[in-house]
Parts: sequence; C-alpha cells; structure tokens
Amino acid sequence: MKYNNSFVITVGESGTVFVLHKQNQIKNKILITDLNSEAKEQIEKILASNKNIPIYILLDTIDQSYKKKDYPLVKKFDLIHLIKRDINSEVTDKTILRNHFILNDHALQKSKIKEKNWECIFASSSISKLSQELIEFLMEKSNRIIGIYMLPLEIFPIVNHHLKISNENNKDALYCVVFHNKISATRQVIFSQKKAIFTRLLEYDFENISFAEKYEKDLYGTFEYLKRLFPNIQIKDINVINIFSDEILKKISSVKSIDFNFTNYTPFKLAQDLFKSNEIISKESSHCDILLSKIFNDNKKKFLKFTTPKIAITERMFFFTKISYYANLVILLLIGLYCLFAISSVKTIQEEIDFAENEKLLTLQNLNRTTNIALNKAGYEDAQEDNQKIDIDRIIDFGRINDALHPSEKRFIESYIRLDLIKKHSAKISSFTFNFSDFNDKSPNPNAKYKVFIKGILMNKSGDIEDIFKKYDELISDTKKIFANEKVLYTELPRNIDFSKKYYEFPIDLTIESK
Amino acid sequence: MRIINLRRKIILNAFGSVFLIFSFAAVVFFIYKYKENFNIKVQEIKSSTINLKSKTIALQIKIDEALKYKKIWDNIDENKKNTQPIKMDEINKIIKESAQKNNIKSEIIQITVPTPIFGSLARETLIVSSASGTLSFQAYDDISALKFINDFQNKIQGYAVITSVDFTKNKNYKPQDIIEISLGKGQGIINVKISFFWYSYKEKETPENQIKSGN
Repeated sequence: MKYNNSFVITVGESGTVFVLHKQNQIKNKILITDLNSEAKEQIEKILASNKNIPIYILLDTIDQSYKKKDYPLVKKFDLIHLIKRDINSEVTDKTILRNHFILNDHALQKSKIKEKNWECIFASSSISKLSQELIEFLMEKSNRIIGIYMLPLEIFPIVNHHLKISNENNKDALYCVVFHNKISATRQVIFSQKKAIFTRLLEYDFENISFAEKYEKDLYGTFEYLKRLFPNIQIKDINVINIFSDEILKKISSVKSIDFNFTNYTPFKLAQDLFKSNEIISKESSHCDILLSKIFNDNKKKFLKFTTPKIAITERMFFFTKISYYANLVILLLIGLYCLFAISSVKTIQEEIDFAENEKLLTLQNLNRTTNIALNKAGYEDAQEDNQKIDIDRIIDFGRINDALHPSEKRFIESYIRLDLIKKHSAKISSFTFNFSDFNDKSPNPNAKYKVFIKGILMNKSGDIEDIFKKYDELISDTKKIFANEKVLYTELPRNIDFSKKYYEFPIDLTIESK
Repeated sequence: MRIINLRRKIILNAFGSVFLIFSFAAVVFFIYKYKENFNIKVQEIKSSTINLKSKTIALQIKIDEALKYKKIWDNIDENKKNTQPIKMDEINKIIKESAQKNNIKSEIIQITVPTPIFGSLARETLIVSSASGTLSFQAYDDISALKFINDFQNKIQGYAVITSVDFTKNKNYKPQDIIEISLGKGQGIINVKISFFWYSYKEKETPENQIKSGN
C-alpha cells in the first residue's frame, strides 16, 4: 500500500506546526512560534533524515481573501483567458499568492439546464514575514517544496464525511465548518457545491460567559454576509459542523436558536471517524491543527495550489530533473533492449551462417560427386594411363563440331546416292549440279538449304509414246517419294507432242530443293 | 530544494543523456556494422553456394553432352580428330593416292590459306580454321567420282564441306574408249568440279597445353 509521506507545515498567526506524515502515521510534530536557530536546528534534523519526503505549506492565516466574480457563459477556454487577463491586470504586489477556481464548474457540466454565468472565486493571501523566512529556509534544504495551500480550501473531506453520515442531498445547502487551531484562532469556513467560498477567523475566549452568545452572533453575521452572495438562502439551509472539545460543545449547545442545523464533533471523534485511529489526537484536545494536517496529507486530490516565483522555478527545474532522469532511464532501457535484440539476432544470423555453410558443403560434395561421375562416364575408367585420358571438353568440342559440319559434309553424297533410283527407270544423267544456297562458312548451319539440278535422258526401248508418259510419271512419282522432305520441280511433258511419232528417248530436267 | 543542487542534477543528467545517446548510437552503429559483416559473410557463402550449384549444373549438362557425344567421338575417324598442322604436300598425297585407287584423271586441287573462325564454331579446347578450295577431276563413271570424293573427305584432316558440285558428262563411251581405258590410257567422260570449305583445327594455347608442350 502506498502512503502519502510528506511534511505538512501549517503556518498560522501565532505559530507554525511542523508535522511529518510517514507510512500513515504522524512520526514527528513540532510547534514553533518563532523561526529561531533552535527551531531551525530541530527542523533541519528531521529534514536531513527524510531528504526524499516533500514539503507542503498550509496557510491558516487571517489575511486570506475569497472574492466571487461572475463571468458570462462563454466557452471554458475563453473563460480561462478572461480570468488570466483579470488576474494580470490586478497584480500589483508579486509577493501576494493568487489563484482561482470555478465554483459552478461541476454543476454546469452535469446540469442540462444552462446556468446564466460562470461563478469564479479568486483566492489570495499575502505571505507573512515568518512564512517568507520559512520558505527561504526550506529552499536551502534537500527536500522538495511542492507548493503552498490554503487551509480553508483543503478541509472539504470533513464536509464529505458529514454528508456520508447524514445522507443529505440538498444541492443548495451550505456547510459551515467551525474549528479551533492552536496556531491561529477559531475559523469558520463556508462550503457551497463542495468548494469553500468564504472563511473568517474569529477570536473567542471560551472561558467567557458570553462565548455562546458571541458564537451565535457571529453565525448570524456570516448568514447576513451569505445572503449577499445567495439572496434566496435561509438559515435552515446552513449546516453548521462544530469541531470543538466536549466542554466547548456543551456551551455551544446552550445557544437558544434552533434555526441552524448543528452537527458536533470533538477533534478526537472526528479523527476516529475519518482515520479509524485513536493515536492522531488526544481525547481532551480542543485543537484541530494536527487533525487538519492529517486530513490534508491523506487527501490525494489537493484542491488549489499556490506558488511563489522561486518555488515555481524549483518546481520547473525539478520537473526537468525528473524528465532527464526518466529519459536517461528510457535510453538505458533501449540500449538494454537493443543489446538483447542484437544478441538474439546475432544468434539467428549465426544459425543462418551455419545453415549456409552446411548448404555450401553439401553443394561442394555434390559437385565433387558429379565431377567423379563426369570423369567415369566420359569413359576414363577404361583408360589405364594418364596419356590415354581425354578431356571431357575435347569430346564435347568434337561432338559440337561434328553436329555442325557432318550433316553438311555428307549432304552431297547422300543426295547423290538417293538418285540411284533414276537408273532403275532407264534414265541417263548427263549433268548433275549440287549447291548450298545459304551456307555460311563462318557459322555453318547443319540444315543449310541446298538445290540439286539434274539433266538427263529417259530411255524408251519401245518408242511408244504411252510408255514414255508412263515411265516419266513413274520417275517423277518415285523421285517425290524418295525426296519426300524436299521440293521436287520438273518440266511437264509437252501437250503438243506428235503421237504418230516414235520416241526412244526423252529429255528430263529435275530440280530438288530442300524446304 | 536548493536551486543550485537542482541545476547540478539537470546538468549531470543532461551530460548523462548526451553520453547515453552517444552510447546508444555507438551500440546501434556497432551492432549494425556487426550484423552487416555477418550478412556480407552469409551473402558470400550463399553466392559461393550458388556458384557451386551452377558449376554442378553446368557439369551435369556437360556430362549429358559428353555422354551424347561419346558415341560420336568413338566413331569419328582418327584423322578427323587430328589437331596437328597439315601441309599441302600431304593433301596432294591423299588426292594422288585416292585418284590412283579410283581411276581418277586430271585431278587439280586448290586451297586457300586457312583462317581461324570465332563464330558458332569457337570451342574451348580447339581453334577452328576454315579455308575455301576447289577440286576438279575427270572420272570414268559417277561411282568412281563419288568414291574419290568420299575418300578425300574421309582422309583429309577435319571436315570438307562440299558446297557445290558439277557433274558433266562430255560424251558416251565408244568401243575405242573402252580399249584405251583397259590400257590405262584415255580420258574420263565425266568432268567433276567441286567447291568446298575445309575446316581444320589446332590445339588452343591453354596453360595445360603449354606445360605439355614444354613452352
């Protein structure tokens, strides 16, 4: 469980209470009336042993001012600009603490009915000499000063507790918390819509017989003031929460007016209710200093922070320190992560290298095996001596040369041999010509085109013209069969032949062309 | 909190940040370079593997080709495989012997000086040269002429690709011609003229060949 560890320094009119809250306990408390060397020594001692615990300064001073101002219902962004402009125009003394809050912000957001305007509370307080000295003193220490807060604004948890117990739900109700502090006096704080709108510090002599009367009179005085802010308010709308000792509460209960709704607590009882602890405050105590310090410390959402220029600078510097610290941490983390990533990726790459090397080795083995096969298949296994071995390239070279030239080399003889059929048809060749039509000696084509021209005589023993026709047709038909892949051109027998004449021979003229 | 302390912390943190940023950059750079070197190594191995694979494939293709040409190699005449230079006298001798064998007369051969060719016939171990030539002769019959041509093609080193042939019969045989032929006289009745390209080859000058030849 995370506890709010802090030093809460409550500065009042007649003294300062210094409380160390640590691990949900009040570890130390000092009351000082003057910031003398003895007090400083005491504070220094505690601060030195708790350097990392931050400091909150809580003001319970008399000169706190709360001014209500209404703004037209403009956009919130514009409203902030208007407020800032107003604050800047009013600032004359920079030593005065100033801040603001919007009173009906929550109501406007929740309510569907649009209110007429924004209600803004300007809070301000001067810094007393003691406070100034204290801040200067604390600034020299290692502990961080987070900011300055106004006590009346920060005690809403008391009202909240009352609301929980009483189960009230009157939105127009006002709550007046009255308590007595040792370092200042008796304070009235008026809350409306969960926010403090007015406070006053009152001097009472509780031993005096007329105390109750004065108390009642002051309540009516407050009511009269509130009527200016809330014209429709009635006394029954004001719930008074008194936090006094039993003795004082008895005196208050003697007040005759029954118009106000009183709820009474002793500081001890309230501490018991709020923190379930009997050790925060003594049973007889009538002072609320320590209790309020505890309430402020335990409230995680501080209401309104005030700051001095010097505190603002240290806060800004603290912010940069934190940012640079976390940035360094992030960079360190990045380096670590990147290193981890690199290690894992190096592992992957190493695996990749191993895989590649294995593959290379396998390929090399395959190459060696193939080379051996090559040597064996080339017929070298038969070769007994080295000088009998023939280079595989030599075989391929001769093979390719043979592929390119051998068909062309033998083309003529093959063609001529096929012409043997002519002799079977009683033909005599008188002239034979063979030539390649597109042979390129630099780049010989094995399928180079060629032509064969044959001239001769077809013999016809009978002299009969019909035999000539028959023999000629048979010769042409057989030639076409033999040269089926070539084109055979021939001259037709003339049509104007003399049929009465004998023909013992007839000229033939054939051309065979490769396709 | 003292401003001076905060300022000191901010300065220290800023220096720390600068140092860490530089360290981070250095780590990133170092790892990048380290990985790059690894990647280069992987790429080198891969390219070497690819090279070996392509060598294997090329060798496999060569084996297939060699197997295909092995039969041709075994069937090619030895003189076709001869890579020694041949002189014109030797060609004339081949022509003369073949002519005598096939009763060929008036044989005349002319061949130009061979010149190396580097087209599709450029080979790894051989330099192929080509020369053009003509051969004319007279034969008693076409069979003798064909045999003579075939002998010439088979005996000559390399390949003689005949690009054109002209067989012309001058006359028909008469009894007197047959008597003269039987006496070993007389002229052939077929005039043959052939044009050819002669492809010969010689060893390519490789370092291995130079070692073998002792140069």
